[in-house]
Amino acid sequence: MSSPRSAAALVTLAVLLAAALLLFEVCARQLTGAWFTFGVHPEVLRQLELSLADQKRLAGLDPAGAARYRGRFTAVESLLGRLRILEYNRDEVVGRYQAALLILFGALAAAAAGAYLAAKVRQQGRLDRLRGALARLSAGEVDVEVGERRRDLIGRVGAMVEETSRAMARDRRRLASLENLAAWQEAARRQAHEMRTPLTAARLDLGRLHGLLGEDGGGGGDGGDGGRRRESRQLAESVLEELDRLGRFTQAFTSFARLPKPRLCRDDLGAFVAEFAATFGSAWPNLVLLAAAAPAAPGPGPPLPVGAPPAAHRGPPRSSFDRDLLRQVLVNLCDNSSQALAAAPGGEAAANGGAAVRGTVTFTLTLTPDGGAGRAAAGGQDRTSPSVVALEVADDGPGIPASVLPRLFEPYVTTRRLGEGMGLGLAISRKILLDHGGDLELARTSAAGSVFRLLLPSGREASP
Amino acid sequence: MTARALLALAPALAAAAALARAAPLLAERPVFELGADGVLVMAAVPDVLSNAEVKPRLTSGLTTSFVFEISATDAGGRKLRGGGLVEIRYELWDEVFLVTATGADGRQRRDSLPSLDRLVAWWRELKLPVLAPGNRLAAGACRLVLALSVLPFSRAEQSETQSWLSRSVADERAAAARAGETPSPAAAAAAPLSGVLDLLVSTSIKRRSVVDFEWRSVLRVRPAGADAERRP
Repeated sequence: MSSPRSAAALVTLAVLLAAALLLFEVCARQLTGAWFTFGVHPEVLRQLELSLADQKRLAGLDPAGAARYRGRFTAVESLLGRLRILEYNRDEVVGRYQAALLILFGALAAAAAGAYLAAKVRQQGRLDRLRGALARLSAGEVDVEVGERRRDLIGRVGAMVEETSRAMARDRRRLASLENLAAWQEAARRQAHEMRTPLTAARLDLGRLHGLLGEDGGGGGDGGDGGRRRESRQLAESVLEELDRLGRFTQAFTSFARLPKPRLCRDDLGAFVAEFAATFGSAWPNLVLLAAAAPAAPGPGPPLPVGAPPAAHRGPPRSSFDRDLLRQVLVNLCDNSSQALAAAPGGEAAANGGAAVRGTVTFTLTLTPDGGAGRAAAGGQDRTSPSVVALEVADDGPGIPASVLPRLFEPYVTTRRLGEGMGLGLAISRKILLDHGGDLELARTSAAGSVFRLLLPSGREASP
Repeated sequence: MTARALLALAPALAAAAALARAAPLLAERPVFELGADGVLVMAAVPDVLSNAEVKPRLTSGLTTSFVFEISATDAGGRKLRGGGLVEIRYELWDEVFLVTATGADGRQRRDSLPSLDRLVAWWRELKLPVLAPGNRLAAGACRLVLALSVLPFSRAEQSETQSWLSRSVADERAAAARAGETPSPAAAAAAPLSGVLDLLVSTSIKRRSVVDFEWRSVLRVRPAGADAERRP
């Protein structure tokens, strides 16, 4: 409030206040004077004096009622005396009344002016905060918080700034993730290429050797040669098995390195998920898949039961996605859940088709404004921003160890034993979602289970 | 007359105007004498009752109060203060003047006078002790200043009117409450302030004097046993 404009506003306010007080004083003077004149009008006083004379005259004419007339006379005389005292104090009473009203009005006007100034100062502070946030945003800072919770114009602009900043932050994170994954993909491609040629040659040579050992062994010979040949064949078969395993690893590298671009098709995501749950319901012996309404995930939007009639909500959640790739993501997540359950105490029997522990994987769809279901603030959403369909995949497994969480989506990060997996599932799944213009995040994890959230754009065509 | 002369005369003119405004001096002066018990008594008070400002007040039905205040500085330099009170009320029913004179000695004298002429005569014959009996003046020249304020009504009438005014406002509000009238939001908000406003208005009844008089005199006080002599 120290700028020339603020000073001019203060002067204007002071002039307006002074003008209002002056106008009030003039009006109050007129009104109060008139009010007082009515009360002690000379005609009123004269009539009261006449009344006094009448009472006396009546008492003379009617001696029997003299006491009554005397009583009335006294009452009128008393009233007349009071009015005369008031009349005598006319200037004092009117002046006091006007002063009191003026003070009252002045106090109210001053309070109003004070409130106005306070609001102005507050508004200026809010504008300064908004300006600072915009400056930080323009300087490239992301995740800028304006801290505006009111729903007026400044509050809405603040929410837009925060929304923009969140979108920028999200895009940067996605870009960084994509760059990181691209580097990993390139490394995987090179490794697969370098491994594939010698591996193929070794497999061919070993296969030939295995064949030769088999041909010679059929011709008989002494017992010692036959035994060595059998042993050599077994060794060759064992090496071939290891080479096959190495080949599968190389194939996994290749698959990760050459993830196909998604062929997007706008479709009903709810129907897709319901179909997945029905088709793959028996794929994992220790899992039950539920594509139904589940308790609402923490987020601003209401949960949408999978397969619910459109009228119940805002229509079926539609999104553009590649059915094959998205199916691969869901399979990866269910695989992880199944293996985590199997690794849990008492879980192996169920994994092998036994009837011990069975887990549940629940799919819940939520339509949220853009910004991420977990990060969105309830009060500051921009209703014009594109919406995001969040598909939550929740299991009731043992949860994810805290030590893994910081690098959960990086390639080759796994909780399994060596040789049981390469830790590429979540990295591939996230890459698929990022290629869809969405993301994959871990919503929460605990000993009661884990929830992964698949975010897919809904209000626009995805731009991978 | 030059501007310089006007400027030179301005303070004198202003002082004269202030004096004239403060106390219209009468040609006559009251007489002061020491009573047998040494009490200073005021007598032969000039006829202020016939004054144009005072006369109409006498028959208003209200109690016109004549408040005397005296300041005496005796030969010893001692400054003494005293006074007296005369209240005159015209009884409209009986058409008589009811007069009460209260001296500095605390004694009251009450009279009922049938006409204004008799009242004026009573006034001229009035002798009123104006210094308390304990205040004995030292022998020698004593300078006296007597001020008279004529008030249009008595203190009792003042407080009675104030309470009537307050009561009227309160009764009006109580009647509105009894009638079940819902006060407007503005009236409800200003309710705490209305009490203050009423107080301000009801205490605005003042006993301003109608007219003031002032006389100065010198009283020669003889030593104990000798009579005092007034020198105008």
